[in-house]
Amino acid sequence: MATIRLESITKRFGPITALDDVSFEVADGEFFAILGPPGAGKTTTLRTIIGLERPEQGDVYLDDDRVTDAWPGDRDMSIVFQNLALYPDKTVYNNLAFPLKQRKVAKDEIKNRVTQTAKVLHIEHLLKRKPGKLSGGERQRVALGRAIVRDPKAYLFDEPISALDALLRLEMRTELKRLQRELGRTLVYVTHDQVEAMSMADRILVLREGVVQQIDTPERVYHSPANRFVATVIGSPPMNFVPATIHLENGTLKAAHTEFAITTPAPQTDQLKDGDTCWIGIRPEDVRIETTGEEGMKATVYVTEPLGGETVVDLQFGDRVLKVLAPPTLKLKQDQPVRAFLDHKRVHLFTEAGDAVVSAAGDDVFDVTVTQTS
Amino acid sequence: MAKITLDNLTKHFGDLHAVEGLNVDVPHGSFTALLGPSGCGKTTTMNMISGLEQPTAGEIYFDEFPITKLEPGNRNVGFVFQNYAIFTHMTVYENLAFGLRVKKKDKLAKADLDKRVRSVADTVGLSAALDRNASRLSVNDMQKVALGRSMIVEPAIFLLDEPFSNLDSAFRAYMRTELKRIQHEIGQTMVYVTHDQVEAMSMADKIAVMDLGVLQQYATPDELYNKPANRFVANFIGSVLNNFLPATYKTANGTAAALHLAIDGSRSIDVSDRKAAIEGRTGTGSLSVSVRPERTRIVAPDAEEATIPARVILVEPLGAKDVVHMESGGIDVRTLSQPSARPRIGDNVGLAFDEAAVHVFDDDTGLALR
Repeated sequence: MATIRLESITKRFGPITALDDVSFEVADGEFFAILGPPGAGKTTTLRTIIGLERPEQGDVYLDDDRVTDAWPGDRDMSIVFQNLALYPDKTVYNNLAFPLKQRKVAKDEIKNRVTQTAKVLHIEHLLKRKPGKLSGGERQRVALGRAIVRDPKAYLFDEPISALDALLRLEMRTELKRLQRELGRTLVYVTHDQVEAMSMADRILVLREGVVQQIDTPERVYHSPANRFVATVIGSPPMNFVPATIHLENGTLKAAHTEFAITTPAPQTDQLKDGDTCWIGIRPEDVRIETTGEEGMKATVYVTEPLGGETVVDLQFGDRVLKVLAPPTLKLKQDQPVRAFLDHKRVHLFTEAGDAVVSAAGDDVFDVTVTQTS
Repeated sequence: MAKITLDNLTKHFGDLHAVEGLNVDVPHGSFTALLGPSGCGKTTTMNMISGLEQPTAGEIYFDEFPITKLEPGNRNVGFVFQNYAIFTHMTVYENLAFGLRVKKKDKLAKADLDKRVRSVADTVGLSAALDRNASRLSVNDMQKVALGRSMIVEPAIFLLDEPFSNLDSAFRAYMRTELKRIQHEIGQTMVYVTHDQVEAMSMADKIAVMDLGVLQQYATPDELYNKPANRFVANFIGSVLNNFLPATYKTANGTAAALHLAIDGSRSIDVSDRKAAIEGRTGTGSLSVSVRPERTRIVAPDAEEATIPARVILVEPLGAKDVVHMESGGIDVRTLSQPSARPRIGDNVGLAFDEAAVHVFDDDTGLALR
């Protein structure tokens, strides 16, 4: 059992506020990701949880016990950093055994636990080797092994796979998720890579400049982003944004761009007023391209980027270029005129400041009409 | 502008064979990527093209001229590195103009120089920043300056070595688009080194995939993805791990019409149209097959079109789609599916393959058999 709770944590380094009133709770057995760009405060959050940083304000709770003043060693959590620290002169076995020896665990028990950990991570055949003789992926597994060998209350991982090759990262992503499910332990996972957070975590905390932006499931942060920042960080290629002007009339809201306009029943909010500037947010997969016909919106192909399984098409609408996902079977040429169709049940609206007003994807479905402006 | 021919290009560093017998033709005006994992020899190849390294054997031609004896400065090559080298005490304008002032022996008229600087600044998206001091620029804009400065001297060949690795992912995606567009507009021969298959696939006309110093395949993105030459390429290209399954064949009357997947309860796959998979084989033996995750789909376990039985072990939501991981006879397989049709962990399902998209590989050589 381990729940982790942070209450109104503020952490300053001199004039810089690294964490600004950060609160969240990680449930027992949850895979919880903290996602954000460099400098967002992710690592500081992790270091605060384990006790390597002391916050100016707020408290850290472990299973409802206040541990804000407890030593890291007394919090019974283990941490894995991006730069793996393995002892180069010790064998894999002794690297794994070390945290247990330090805690004066009996020799038989150490052997048991090391063997079991090696089995879970598929490194049984490496136990006699030294780190210098291992590949990057194998070393990473040993580092993970050192974290789980001692059966702590919770694991804290700081970008543990971001230094690995792309292929290995794909493999490790799946393995980490399986491992966490098998162990059933609380895991807080820090990353700047949205794919890692989305694919592995039960819930994601999106952090920006020390401020929590959203805490939600992968589905919710993707389909109902709290603001423009979250919408940009989650998804690849990222959401497209088009500036538009709001016209409110007879219970309908019209957001007009120079090239096209979308009309919806007016949302119950006072965040958007007549004449306001707003952003229309469009996910790359929510636009369909047709090469013939007169319907839909006029666009031209700016660039095509084949990825194999799908193609990213950069479509030019007036002075804007939107990234759109198309099937690889659709063959397009640069500067070819095409017609684009917006999925009328999947459009997002944001205020000029970037707050989400409407996310017509997922639950709060509404019907959007798309018209050509000129 | 020039075409590049790498003829049996070889580079050894002592016992290390960094590049071995590389033959690649880069057509005039094309965008070619050198792609591979770290240590594959791609940067060494690039360094030989630019003249920073001398080959152990082989020759490099620009058009019809052998150039390995030429000094780097005489090769008329523009270079952009991962670590942009720009003058931080100069403005963006001066940085761009610098390349022209140094390079051109016959001095350009001031008006002409100004025109060129502004035109290049426009191409790389720096028009609004011309008067800014380079030290005040963001990392993203600094890389644009580096790009613009190489571009302005109009070299015959443009070499780029992981120029976007230090940029954030959103800007990297933006620059990919812009660079591809710029290359089409200026029509210059570009060689681009990267370890990132997404960059290579999305930008290049042709990609040379390398591993351990040896060329694995030199083909268009479409061919690499849909007709991989060997197992290495099939595994390396793609954003979702490819599926590989062991199979056996049995020949009868000199032909093997079907491959039997070594998984209990699976259907055999008709590969009678893939002659090379069958030719010269007798008796029984083993092969590997691969099928891309998006060329498979989940069906009912007892459905007739189910190629293999599978059990769902993990779902990775990516937003627009899910990667569903399954286990079948001890082998991990993956498919892509819609989040609206998400299976539950532990579900027993059938996985149907698009048989036309199944590739066959020789177990010993790893070569694709068609």
